[in-house]
Amino acid sequence: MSAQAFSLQDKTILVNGMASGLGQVIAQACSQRGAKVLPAAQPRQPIHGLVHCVDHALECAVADLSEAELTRLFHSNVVQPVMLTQQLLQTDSLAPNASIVFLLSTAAHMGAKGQGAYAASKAALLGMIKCLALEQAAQGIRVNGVSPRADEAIWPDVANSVIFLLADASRWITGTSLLINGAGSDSASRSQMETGAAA
Amino acid sequence: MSVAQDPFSLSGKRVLVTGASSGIGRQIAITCSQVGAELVISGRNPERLQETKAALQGEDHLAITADLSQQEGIDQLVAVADTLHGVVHAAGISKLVPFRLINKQHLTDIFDSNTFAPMLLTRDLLVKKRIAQNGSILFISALASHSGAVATGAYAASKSALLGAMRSLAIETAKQGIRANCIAPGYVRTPMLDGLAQGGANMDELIARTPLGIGEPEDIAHAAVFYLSDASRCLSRHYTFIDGGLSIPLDIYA
Repeated sequence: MSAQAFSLQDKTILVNGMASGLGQVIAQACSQRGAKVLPAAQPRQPIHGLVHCVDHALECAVADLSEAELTRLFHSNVVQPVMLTQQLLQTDSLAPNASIVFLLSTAAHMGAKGQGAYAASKAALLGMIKCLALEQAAQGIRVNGVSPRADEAIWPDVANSVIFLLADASRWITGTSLLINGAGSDSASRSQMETGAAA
Repeated sequence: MSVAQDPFSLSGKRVLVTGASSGIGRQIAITCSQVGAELVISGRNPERLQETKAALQGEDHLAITADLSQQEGIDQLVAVADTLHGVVHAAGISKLVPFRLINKQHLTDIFDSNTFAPMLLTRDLLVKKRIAQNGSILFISALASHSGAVATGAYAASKSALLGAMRSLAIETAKQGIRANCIAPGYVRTPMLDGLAQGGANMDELIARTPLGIGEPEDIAHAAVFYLSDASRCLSRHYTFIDGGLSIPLDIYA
């Protein structure tokens, strides 16, 4: 009974941005747990899980940022996933109790030099997650995010967090984003943990 | 997918769950056993602890009656714990007391059970090397740690103290691959919630405010399984509200 809570059997999952490296890893992991994975919405196909894997990086000091770059980044990271979500809501494509997962970044929660535009675009999703979660709760639709650090080595772990948020095991979790920071498993993430602790 | 490859399985893991004689702790123990874990459960009430043990799936589980607010209780548990891959600190007490009526005894009782017991038990398990490499330690906090509901001064303080303890612990154990996290439940259908209602809280109103409705112990247990399993091996130092969305509109982040 409890093992089923972590299964994606009989669930249709739409992966927005499936062509990306992380998108492929997530799509494959979902399908291994029994999901039917789609790269785009199909008519009369209720969607039980929507995973946004859109992630465009930009490293640029705020003092040097152009309006065009900032606008383009927000369009890629925020406008595209949010408007796709809106379209699926307007067409009643999401099943009751569906789960929506946005791809954020550790940058949404922590400041870093050169990350102003990128961090702001990811933090914008946090605001969307919270408000959309409240708006859709009556339908049982949950809205969450994953916030991984930029590291291809942890993509399989990002996929596992996404699976948890898509599965019935997390049916009472909404409005949050799971930080996936490496747990100090390597010296880089350990030193970051220790730096933060000094304050 | 075979069980051996399943990152969400607890097969081959030994998990200690405190507070297993009722409520959230009881369900965490049961759910962990259903996904393959071998359990060591502790609680204060021997009859109810045996009832939990009888509800566990599989054999080879161990039930230890112990009061962890006393060092003797901790010693008793650590002595028989053997190697653990997961520890869930679910034991805790709650009592509604308006701030003006808080006294030293009330603070001591609440902190002994909710804060000092999980910290001291963790210390002794680490000192005695009972927690395996890549083990996972999970504290059960409460939404009240941040929301501070009326008359929960001592309780909320005892639970928010777990945040600092967990964050510091996680840094110190990272080199052994041992992770530490907190989950903070909102209003879940448990005997503790019944106690709040008897203490005069308007539970219907509080539950109506939860966007996804009242939580079931299974909802917390499934999150515990995630934090104990290898599926979360890159997650540490989390303080995660599991509350059906109750905290979303609150002004508790500022």
